[in-house]
Amino acid sequence: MSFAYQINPFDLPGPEFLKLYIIILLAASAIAWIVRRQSLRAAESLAMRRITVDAYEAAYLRGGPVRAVDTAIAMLVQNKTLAVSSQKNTLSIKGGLPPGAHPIEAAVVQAIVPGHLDNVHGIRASALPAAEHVRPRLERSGLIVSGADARRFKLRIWMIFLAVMAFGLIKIYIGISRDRPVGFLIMLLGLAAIIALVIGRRPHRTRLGDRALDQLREENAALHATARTHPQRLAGTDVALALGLFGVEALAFQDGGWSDLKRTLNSSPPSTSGAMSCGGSSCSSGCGGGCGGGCGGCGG
Amino acid sequence: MMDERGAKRIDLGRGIGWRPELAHSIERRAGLGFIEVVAENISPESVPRAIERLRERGAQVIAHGVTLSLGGAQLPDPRRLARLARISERLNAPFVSEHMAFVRAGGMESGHLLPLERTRESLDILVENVLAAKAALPVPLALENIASLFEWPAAEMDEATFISEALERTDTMLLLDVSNLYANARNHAWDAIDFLRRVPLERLAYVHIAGGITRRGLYHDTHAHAIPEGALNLLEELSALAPLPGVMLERDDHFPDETELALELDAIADAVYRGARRRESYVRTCA
Repeated sequence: MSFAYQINPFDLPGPEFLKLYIIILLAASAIAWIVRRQSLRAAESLAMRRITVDAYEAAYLRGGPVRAVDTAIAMLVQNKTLAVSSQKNTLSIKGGLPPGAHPIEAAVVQAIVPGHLDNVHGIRASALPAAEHVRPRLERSGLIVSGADARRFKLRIWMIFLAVMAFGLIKIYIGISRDRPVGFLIMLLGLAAIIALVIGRRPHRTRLGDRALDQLREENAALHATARTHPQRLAGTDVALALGLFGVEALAFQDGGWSDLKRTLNSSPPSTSGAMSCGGSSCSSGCGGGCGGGCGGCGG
Repeated sequence: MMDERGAKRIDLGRGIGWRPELAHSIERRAGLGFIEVVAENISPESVPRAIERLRERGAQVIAHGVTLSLGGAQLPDPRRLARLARISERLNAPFVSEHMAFVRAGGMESGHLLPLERTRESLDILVENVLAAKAALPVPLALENIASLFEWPAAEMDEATFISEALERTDTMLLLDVSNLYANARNHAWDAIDFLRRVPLERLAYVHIAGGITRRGLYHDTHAHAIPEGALNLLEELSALAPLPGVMLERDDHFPDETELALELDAIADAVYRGARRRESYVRTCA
C-alpha cells in the first residue's frame, strides 16, 4: 500500500470516507458558526457609545419591520384612530391621525382602503416600506446587520459549505462510476445544505444589537411591570415604547378592542396558493422530506 | 427596651407601596428612600427586576405580610413564616411588618384583616403569636394597627392600651398607619391625638398613609382614593410629636397617573415637614 494511496481520501472505502466526511461536516459547521458570531460582532467603538432608540426603532430592533408596523397599528387602535374586527382580521378608520403621528402610523392609515384593502396582513405589507426607514439609523449604530454585511456573511457561509458539498459530490461521482451505493453520502450532502441554510440565515441584530435590546428591556423593567398590569395610566410615548420593546402581548388593556387586536395581529395570513410565504429577513428553510430506505454505503 | 433585633431605628425617608401597576411611576420618582412589597405577592425565587433596580439605586425594601394572622387562635403557620423569612433575606429587608389582626379561624379564610377583641385573653394570644413569629424571622418585626368598621363588644381596654401593651410585651416596633388610626377614631368616635400621645412612638419603625372615602357616615380606608385632609393633619400631628423614620403611601386600586401620584407624595412630605417644624420650634421654645 503506497503512501499516496493512503492520503487520497477519494480512494477510502465507503464507511471510512463517510466517517471522514462527517468529521469534515462537523468542522465546517463549527467554523461557519464562528464566522456567524464574528460577523455579528460590531466595532468596539460602537459598543462604547450610549445608543438611544425610539419606540419604533425598538420594535424594529426586536423583530424587524413587521414588529414596527404592528406597534404602529397597536398605537392607532389604542388612540382610537383605528378599530379592529377580529372576525375578519380587518382594520377600519375611526378618527383622524393624531398630530405628530409617526410616519409608520401615517403609512398604516394611508394603506387602508375601506372595502378593498382592510385586511391587517395586507395593510401590514403595504406599510412595511415606511418601517424600513428606521433601519438606516439602526444600521449606522451597529445594532442591525446591514444588507451588504448580510450578503457578505451569507457568501462566506455558503463558500464553506459548497466546498464541503463539492468534496462529497466528487466522491459520489466516483462511487457511481464504480457502481457503489452512494445513498448515505447523498444524505450527508443534504444535511450539509440544511446546516448551511440554518447557520447562513440572514442575521437581524448584531451582538451589539442584542445587548442594546437586553439593556433597553432591563432599563424598562418597571414599564413592563406596569404595562402588564395597568397600562391605562401610561403616557402615549410610554405605551409606544412598551409596545416596541415587549410587543402587543405585554400590554394588558382591558377593553375588547385590545383583545381583538391581539387576535388579529396573531392571525395567520390568508392563504393564496397553499405555499408558505416566507418573506422578510428571518426566513429559514427546513428539510424537505426524508430519504427513502435502501440506500447505504458509499462506493470505494 | 428593645432587643438586639428590634432596637435599630432606620431612617427610611419617603416611600411607597410597590405595586406593578405603579412600578413605572415609582421608577421615575426621584428621592424615594424605600418601598414596601406585599410579601405574599412576591416570590423569593423571582423578585421582579423593577424591584431589584430600585434596590440597586439604594432604596430599602420592606417585606409586608398580610396572612400571618398574628391575632388568630393558632400559632402562625411555620411555612408562611419561613417564606416571609426567605423574602426578607432575599430583599435584604431591614425589617418585616404584619398586622395586629386575624385573617382565618376554624379553617376559614376571611380574605380581610379582622380586628381583635381588646381583651386580656386576646392580648395574650397576640403576644404569644408575635413572639413565635419573631423567633422564626431573621429581621425585626413591626406591627401595624388596622382599620375596622366594627368593634367587638366588651372591650377591656382601648386601642392605644392594647397596642402599647402588645409592643412592650413582645419588644417589637410599630408600623403606624395614620389612615387606619384616622378611620377608627372617626368611625368609633375616639381621640386620635390622644392615641398618638399614648402609644410608644420611640418604637416607630415607619408610617403608612392611604386614601379612603366616606360612605353612609362611615370612613372606608380603601387605598383607592385621595388621602383625606384629616389623615394628612393626623400625619402632621404625628410628625410634631416625634421624628418619623419613614412615611409611605399605600395605593392598591384606581391607580393614579404620575402627576396625581406625585401630588400625593408631595402632600405627605409637606405634612411631615410642617409637623417637624412645629416640633423643632417647640423644642427651641422649651430650651
